[in-house]
Amino acid sequence: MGKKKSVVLMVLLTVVIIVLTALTVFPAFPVPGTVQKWNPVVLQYDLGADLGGGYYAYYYPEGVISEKEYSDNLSVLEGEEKTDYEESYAQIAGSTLYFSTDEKAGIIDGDALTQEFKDNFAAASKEISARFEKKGYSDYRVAVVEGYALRVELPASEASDKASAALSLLVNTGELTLSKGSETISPADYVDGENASISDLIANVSVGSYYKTAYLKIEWTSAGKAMIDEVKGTLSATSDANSGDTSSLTTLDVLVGEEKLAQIFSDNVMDSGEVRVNPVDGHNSDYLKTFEILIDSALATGGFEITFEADAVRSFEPVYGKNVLTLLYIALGVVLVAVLVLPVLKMGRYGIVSGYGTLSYLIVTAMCFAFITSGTLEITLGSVLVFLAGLVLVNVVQYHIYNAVKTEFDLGKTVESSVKGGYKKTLWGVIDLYAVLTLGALALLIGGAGVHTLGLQMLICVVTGAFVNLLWARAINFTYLSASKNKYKYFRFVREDDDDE
Amino acid sequence: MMNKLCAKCKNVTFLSVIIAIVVALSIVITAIFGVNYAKTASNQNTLTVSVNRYFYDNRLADVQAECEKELNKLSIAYTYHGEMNGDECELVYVFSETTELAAAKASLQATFAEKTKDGGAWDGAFINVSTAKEQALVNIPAAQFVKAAVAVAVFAVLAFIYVALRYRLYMGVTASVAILTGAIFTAAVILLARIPFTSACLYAIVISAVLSAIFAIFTLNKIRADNSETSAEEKLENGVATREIAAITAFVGGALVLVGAIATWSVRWFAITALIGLLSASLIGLLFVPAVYLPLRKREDKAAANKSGYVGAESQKTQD
Repeated sequence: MGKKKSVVLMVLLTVVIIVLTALTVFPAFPVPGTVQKWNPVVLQYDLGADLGGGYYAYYYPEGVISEKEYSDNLSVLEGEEKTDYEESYAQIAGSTLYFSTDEKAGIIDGDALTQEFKDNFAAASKEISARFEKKGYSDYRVAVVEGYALRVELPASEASDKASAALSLLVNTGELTLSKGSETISPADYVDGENASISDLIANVSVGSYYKTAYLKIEWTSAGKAMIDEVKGTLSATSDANSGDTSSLTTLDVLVGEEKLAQIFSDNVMDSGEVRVNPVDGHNSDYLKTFEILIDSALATGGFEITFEADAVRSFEPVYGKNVLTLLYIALGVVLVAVLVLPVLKMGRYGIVSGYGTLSYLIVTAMCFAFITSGTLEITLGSVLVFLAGLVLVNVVQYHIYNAVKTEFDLGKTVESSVKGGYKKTLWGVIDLYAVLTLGALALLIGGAGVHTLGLQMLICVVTGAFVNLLWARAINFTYLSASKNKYKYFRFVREDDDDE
Repeated sequence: MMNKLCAKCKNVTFLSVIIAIVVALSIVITAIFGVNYAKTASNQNTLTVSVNRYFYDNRLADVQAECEKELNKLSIAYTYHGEMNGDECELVYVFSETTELAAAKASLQATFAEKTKDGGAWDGAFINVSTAKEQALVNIPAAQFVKAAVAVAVFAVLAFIYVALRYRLYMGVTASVAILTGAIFTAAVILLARIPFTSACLYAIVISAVLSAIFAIFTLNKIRADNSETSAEEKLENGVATREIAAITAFVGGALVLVGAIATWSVRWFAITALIGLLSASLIGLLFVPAVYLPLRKREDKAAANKSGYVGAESQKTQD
């Protein structure tokens, strides 16, 4: 490549990299004259609870209220009403909660809680905890508060509407039922035996997909197929729902407790009997996953004799403190400056090539983390560590290649020949390194929740690193070297016989 | 110099015994005391100060200062505090499960009652103080531990297959042993040092396995590229990738020290955990990989010599 062409190419490349780096890391500021705010790529991540905080909600069993609610309610009452209210609730030793004394509630017997209430609470809270575990959050917390209430925390990486849906649905302890209009379908009508249950009709519930649409798939047992074949003809079609008058619609509804999870129209029933309902955009299949978990759980347990009332959903600050992200960015900034400066000091202008590689790695990984798999790539401290390790690895591999070039040069070869030889000798070693790391990243995808996400992020870092070390930095080096007047100085090489001359 | 030092520490039995002792100790300590889960993932006591939205938006700092003052007066230290926004706003102070909060609650209630009374400094504010004991149902789900362990094991198997096919069988064994040892040793040190365990510790363990793989591959690469007619010991002496391992350890370690120095206490624990993972991987790369490599290499050389009918090999066998 000619020198002029190389110079032009390097200038263009520098401009592009500077612009992209600015897009990636230039700090946020309000755009003058508008209400808009400039936000760099690194501020557009879905953050885990450790870095971004999250949401939480309290759940009280029906008939149980918090100390605050009790005192708030009591403070607005007077006279007999106040006395009645005081008598309607009681505290037990070891808990600040207030329990209904109403016999029908079946919570308190004398001065102690009934065994039935205790057992129901224990079983329901265990199942609720298992439901959140199945959602695969990297960080979540289900805790028993004061012995007989629940508090659930979810990370901020979950969009607020999806978090609210999960926080309200997964605590539903009702029974799974099918109803057509006001009539509840009785499994006993389709299955012999006294103990017929809804699980004798529904075989499996899962999330299916068709092109970019996700839907809830309900598969039936043979008895369930008989039921759906029977009712299918009486159901309205989805086109009827769109026509306006919804009062005359007949649908088969899937309910857990009072919550209607799906409305089955005649055209939702496939020829095989399988039902496909609640179509949503593929990106929102998380919603359906929540439905699937709830229905599966209700099918398996048959519901609980206890219901929870949810308090409002609230948000909380990052677990590791408000400014943790800023502090991390400062630390990463210092490291970035170090990996830009040190290679130049050590390897001369070849270090500048490493600098281009470093910035390219930063731009590509930062953008991929933010945009490639929106909603599923939450940034945790593990992500920061993977990014950091990748950044250093890219530079160490560059240094490794530089040493190989230097070794070739020390054998008396020309600079061009040394570069060629150095790259050739390290090529397969670098390929092997990245191949093993790719296998590692793929293996980590097996890991649950956070480790799975870490695997995805590692895959991005490894592929980007391989691209930078094997192709990109090599191409930049070729261009930059072509433009260089003194190729010895470029690599900081000194040849003794040249000195003699 | 460093290479020679690494190659000298080639007594695999000695290193294995040290690693085994650390692992065994960590198992015993964990069996006796349990995993030391971080406060964010374990049982805790909370003190919640609920404040009406208007007052919270305008005077949060004052409420917070009052809380801190009362807690300091009673010498009660909290592990962290959170600010919660919703229809109602709360300041939540989180304490260890052994902290007694009745006195703090009574003291804060009295302070806020005085301030919010008619004509008081904070007239019109609604502030409520409550305490609660929280018992975590799940710390880190067991399934997450199992899946992470399976992922590391699969990584070791895949690395073995790749390296064995590309290089030599014993090199594949070396790479997979490095990966497994890196993860196990890091986990053992974290458990033994009683570092507060969070899901971030799982990441550090997994990344330690990845770093061990990187270090092992660098070394195996160098040894494989050495075509000289020297002995296995000499090849190993020149082959340990000390420069690469030192560079990665110095940069990543430096960054972690920096993060630990400027960040909050919780991130500091993560930085320490990650540093343990990094140092464990370096130890594996510098000492354990050469120590595992050499006997495996000698074994294969001997097997190859036996197969070729080399007389020296027979006499060696007899001596053994």
